[in-house]
Amino acid sequence: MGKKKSVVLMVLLTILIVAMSVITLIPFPVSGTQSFNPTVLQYDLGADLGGGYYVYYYPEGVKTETEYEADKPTDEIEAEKYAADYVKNGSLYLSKESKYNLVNNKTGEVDDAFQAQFAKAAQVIADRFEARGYSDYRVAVVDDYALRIELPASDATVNETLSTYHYTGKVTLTKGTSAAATELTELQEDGAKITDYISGFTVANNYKWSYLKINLTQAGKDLMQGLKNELATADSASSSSTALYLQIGDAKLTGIYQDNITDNDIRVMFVESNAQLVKTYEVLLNSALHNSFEFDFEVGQVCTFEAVYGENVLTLLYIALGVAMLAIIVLAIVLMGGYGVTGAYASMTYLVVVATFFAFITGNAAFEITLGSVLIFLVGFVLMNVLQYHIYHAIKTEFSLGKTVESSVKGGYKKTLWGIVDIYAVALLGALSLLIGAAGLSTLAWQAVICIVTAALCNLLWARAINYMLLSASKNKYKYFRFVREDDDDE
Amino acid sequence: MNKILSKTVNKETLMSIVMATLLVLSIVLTAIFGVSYAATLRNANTLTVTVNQSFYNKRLDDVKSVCDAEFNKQGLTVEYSEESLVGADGEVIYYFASGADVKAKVETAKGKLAEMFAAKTDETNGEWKEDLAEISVSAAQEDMQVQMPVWYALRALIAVVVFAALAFAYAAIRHGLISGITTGVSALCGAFLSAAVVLLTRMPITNSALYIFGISAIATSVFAMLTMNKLRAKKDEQTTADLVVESTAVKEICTFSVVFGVALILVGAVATWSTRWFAIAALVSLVVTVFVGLIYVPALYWLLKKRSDKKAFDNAQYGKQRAEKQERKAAKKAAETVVVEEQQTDEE
Repeated sequence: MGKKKSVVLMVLLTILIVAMSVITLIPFPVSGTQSFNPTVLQYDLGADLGGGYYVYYYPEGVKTETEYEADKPTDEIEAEKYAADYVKNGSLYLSKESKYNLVNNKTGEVDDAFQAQFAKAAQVIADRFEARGYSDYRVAVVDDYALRIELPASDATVNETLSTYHYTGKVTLTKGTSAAATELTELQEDGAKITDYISGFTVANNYKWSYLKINLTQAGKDLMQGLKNELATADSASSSSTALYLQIGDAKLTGIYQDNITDNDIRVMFVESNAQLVKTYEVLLNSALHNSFEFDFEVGQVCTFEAVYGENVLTLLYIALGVAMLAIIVLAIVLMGGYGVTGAYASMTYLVVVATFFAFITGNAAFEITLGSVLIFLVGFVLMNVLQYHIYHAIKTEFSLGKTVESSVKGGYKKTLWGIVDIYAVALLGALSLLIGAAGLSTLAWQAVICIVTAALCNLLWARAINYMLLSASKNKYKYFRFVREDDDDE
Repeated sequence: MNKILSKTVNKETLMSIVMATLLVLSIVLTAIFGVSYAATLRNANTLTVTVNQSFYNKRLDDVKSVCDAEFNKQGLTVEYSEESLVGADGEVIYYFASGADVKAKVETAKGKLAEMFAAKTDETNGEWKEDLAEISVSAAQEDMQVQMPVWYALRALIAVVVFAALAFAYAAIRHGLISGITTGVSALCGAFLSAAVVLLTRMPITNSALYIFGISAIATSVFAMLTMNKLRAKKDEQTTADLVVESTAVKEICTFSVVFGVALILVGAVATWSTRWFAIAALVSLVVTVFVGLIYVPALYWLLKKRSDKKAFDNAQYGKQRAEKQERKAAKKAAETVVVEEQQTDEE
């Protein structure tokens, strides 16, 4: 390639990489109160980096200390009567009212049946959050009789999840209008169970939308075919239309219309029916289908919390990463001269491509960025630069045999090609194997695939092309590689 | 480095025994004492300070200073805290270690703080009366319903085993059976030994520890492949211990580990407490990965190669001896035939 052409191409490439780097890394004001958010500030973060949400579930009849004190009468006698109506347990106050069945009024102790029911409810709810597959979550029992749930900030369906996962009661189908629907007569018969008609719930996909598939038994299919014509179509649905309603206890989850019923199953979409939302309902309904019991919770307000160990953890991490990456790039230039500059271009390309993929690949699940993502990013980055050095060393060895610079470059690349392919192939197999892992490890596997494929392309193709252009544009090919010619030695 | 490798290349059995011992010890220790979880996954005593929104926005730092001073007086260590502002109230939740003695101190601190805040917010004489502060304090105990789900760890284990099998297959096809076994075994050693050392040192871990072990398996097999590539380039030479030592990718592995290690130290030093423990666990895993990739892999390869060569030599020797035996037998038979013929001729 001619020198002028190389210079022009390199200038254009440099402008492009700098521009992409700015878009990826630097926030800047656009106008007045608005500012541009770079790619690195648009991630779905795990709880360790981005904080999350929490909520309390209190059984009916249980008050917090704050609520108890707020409701306490000022009059001393009334206050005594008020206190006598409650049993204190840590920071919780359990009402003695018989309608709640919390306290055994004979002994004045918390009722054994209530304790057993609460323990069962706590386990079922914890199992739901576990089945949902969060990378990081927390389900804790507070003072024996309340639950505190924490979810990561990356969960886009947090409101639906936290407001529905306390539902207990049996899964049932009702028919009627939205205001007045009654349980299907078939389900009211003696010995009838919902599992006679519904075998389970699964998530299915239709192009970019996901929907909930209600799998029916043969009896369920027959029942639905019989009911289908009595139901309104989804297009004509109104508050007075007849529809089926899928419920857990008294809580209606969704309406089912004529068009939702196929020959084999029922297909339901929700508003903004992404895979995360449908997965939320799938886990809830499968849990309720197989764990039917009555226990009512009241849900507190959903609160947010900052990254557990400080709101600045992400900023500090970016600074640390930036310093580390800059040090590696500078070291490469010091050790390898012009070839190190090739590495710098490859490094910046790696950063831009990986950062962009991490931000904008969401697919059907939250592409959660966690500490593991930082680690795999660093592994790919360091591996790419170490292999650049490996190639440089091979080129240097070829040159020491007396070959020209061009022949040395060709020979060096040839000798290292299959070795580098082997390394990335094994690394890619590792990343694909990690897809077997659960929750966060599965997400990390996809991130590892992105990092490894990008690093491989940078090493094998991109850096080679940049090196070709830079070498063509350089005045002194020996100085470029920091090689010493034998005749220079003699001088 | 080559001097060290020359000494260790014949010590595969010893290294395997040490690694297996560490693994067994970690399993036993974990079975007896349980996993050492990070604070966010442990039972805790909590103290919650609820503050009205206006005061939360204006003077939350003052509230926190009062709390910190009281915690110091009571000898309480805050493991971590969470701040939240929703609707009309904000709250700060402080987490302390679990246990009856800490619970008693937290209750004492709660009582003292309630008195102090009541005095400061008193409408007549309170220091904060102008700011219309409403502050309440409560103490609770939180018991984890689930820590790390077992199936998370199980699936990670299966993923590592599957990877080891795939790495074995790839390396065996590319570089031969011995290289395949070495690469597969190195992946398993990297992951399991990292897990063993992290568990033995009782480092506080969260689910993110699984990421470290998975990446360790990949890194170790990458290091192994670097060495296998170099050995393949010298496949026409006779394999000796010295050749294996010379072919170990010392430069590449050391460069990777030094650069990566420095980057991890930077992350751990600059970032906050939780990321620090993660960086330390990753650093420990890096040391283990380098040990397996740099020292154990050449030793394992050399042991397998020696046994394979010996077996091939023994088979060749057996074949040679068998051929010689058959020749002697044939010669003896031929000689006997000649004697019998001579006797027959004499008789005639």
